[in-house]
Amino acid sequence: MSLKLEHVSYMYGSDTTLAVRALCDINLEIPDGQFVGLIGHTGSGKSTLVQHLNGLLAPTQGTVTYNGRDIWGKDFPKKELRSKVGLVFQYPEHQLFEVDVFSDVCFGPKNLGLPKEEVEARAMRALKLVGFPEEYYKQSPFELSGGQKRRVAIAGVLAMQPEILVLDEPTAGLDPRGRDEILGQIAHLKEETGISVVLVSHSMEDVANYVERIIVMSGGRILFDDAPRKVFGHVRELEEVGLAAPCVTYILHRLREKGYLVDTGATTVLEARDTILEALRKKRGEERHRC
Amino acid sequence: MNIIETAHVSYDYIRHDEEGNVEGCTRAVSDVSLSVRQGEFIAILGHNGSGKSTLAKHINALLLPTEGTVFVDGKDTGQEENIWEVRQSAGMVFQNPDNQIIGQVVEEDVGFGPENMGIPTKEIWERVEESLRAVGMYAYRKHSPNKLSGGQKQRVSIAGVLAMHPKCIVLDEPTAMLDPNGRKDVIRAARALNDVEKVTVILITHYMEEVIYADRVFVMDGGKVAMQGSPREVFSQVDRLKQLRLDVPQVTLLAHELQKSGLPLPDGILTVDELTEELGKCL
Repeated sequence: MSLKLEHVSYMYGSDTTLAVRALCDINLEIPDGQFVGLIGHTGSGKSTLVQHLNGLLAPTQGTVTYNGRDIWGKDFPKKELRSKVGLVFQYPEHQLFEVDVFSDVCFGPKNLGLPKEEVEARAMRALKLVGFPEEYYKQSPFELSGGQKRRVAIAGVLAMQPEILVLDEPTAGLDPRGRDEILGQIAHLKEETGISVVLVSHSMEDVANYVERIIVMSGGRILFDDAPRKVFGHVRELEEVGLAAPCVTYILHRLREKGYLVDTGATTVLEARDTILEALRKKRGEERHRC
Repeated sequence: MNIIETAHVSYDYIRHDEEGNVEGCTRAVSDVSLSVRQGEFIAILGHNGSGKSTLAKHINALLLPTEGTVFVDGKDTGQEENIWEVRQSAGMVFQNPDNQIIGQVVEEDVGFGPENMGIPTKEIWERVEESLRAVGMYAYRKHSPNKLSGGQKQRVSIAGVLAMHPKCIVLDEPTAMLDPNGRKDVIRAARALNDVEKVTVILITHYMEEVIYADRVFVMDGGKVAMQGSPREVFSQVDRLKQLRLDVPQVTLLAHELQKSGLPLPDGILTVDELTEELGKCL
């Protein structure tokens, strides 16, 4: 399984005088089982890019291929692609509509024309994967808390058994614990099922904590595509395009200026703790040496 | 003088079945008594469902208490004849930048509030100009709001409230949907209102970093005020906050972790400068 974008460009309103270029020469590949973060300021082209991943938008130039086949080719089964690449939009709980949680999750697979047993088995499995408690399966989705509703919405997409799961800001508006729970569950899900996850986020800290690769978008182009510690090494460039590094990165840079030999590539609190302790040990050793 | 004074405020959301009979009620705010002085910068934290937005809606009489009283600038919000004055003293900005803007042009949108108050045209324009300048959006006064970024829209919303010359402004998760830059600009605008214009600011947020400049922090849980104090006092209690489904700023968390590893750091470190200074002492 692999999804590949080659020289993809996209213009909104390309046949009018108001054409706006939203994507410009995008090349990227999403392999099996990768946790990818997609960041960029508002208007950088993230959402347009995401909509290319499952064929909601067709590139003005370039190709999108899934397992080597052009998804815009004549005989390509686009419906199948949409179940293979699952998209969870921002505030997905606004899309819940069924009378109870379980029916809502069944809706997708039911529309695939699967037999009832298969539909229910999939819904069951999806709800388990997002950690939704079984006693609430028959509850109306509208009576749930924000975090629970969001789990149901994500389960609805998982029930389609996608190979790539794309989440657009899945934690917006959730409290810190709710945020950690949802992201933890997604990471766990990725381990369990081996699917790829693309996480669109405005929180550098969340991205740093969970993903193994970060794609930074700016002005419709890919600015960086690398491991978190490498990407967050470009603090100045990130700030120029309206982003930032995680808070700990700034702390470490400051300590480095003050003469502590910390590793400024650390991007999470625990990594930062370890490198600070290490640097303190070294510094103490030095001072003792001088005495 | 106290701009906001709540005494034993409780609020019940009442659920109705299809025939309109009362099915049950949920107590969202429970016996909250607090007071806010004119000119303070207050932050309210709390997990989803803790009652913070419900409480905030009492401040400009969008909700009226089931029990207890709310006074805004000396006016009881429960008295119907006070409602317009209360709403003029206390303005509100919500989370979603896309559903608070009604004008076709930025300056018209900002002028909407004072226009409805019957302010003379000349003064409306003066107010629009000063409000847009206060939030750093004056250069965009002739733009269409549709073309602005989320952070810019939120600042226009704030200007719209500001143009009504409120004494107090309630910001209910104004940055939840914004990117890092938008977030910074909105918080900067809110702090400037407080510092320069002396407007009382009440900020509800899930971003702990936005709270460290507040004069006082209230933490809500189960409809009650569970913790209150200066940011330093509140963020010293890392474990208690985690229990309440909250967090602390990353600097504070890092200091807490270093402390657990045996470094003699004080509780409640809030800024990078404090951390570097304290680490210096550990050598």
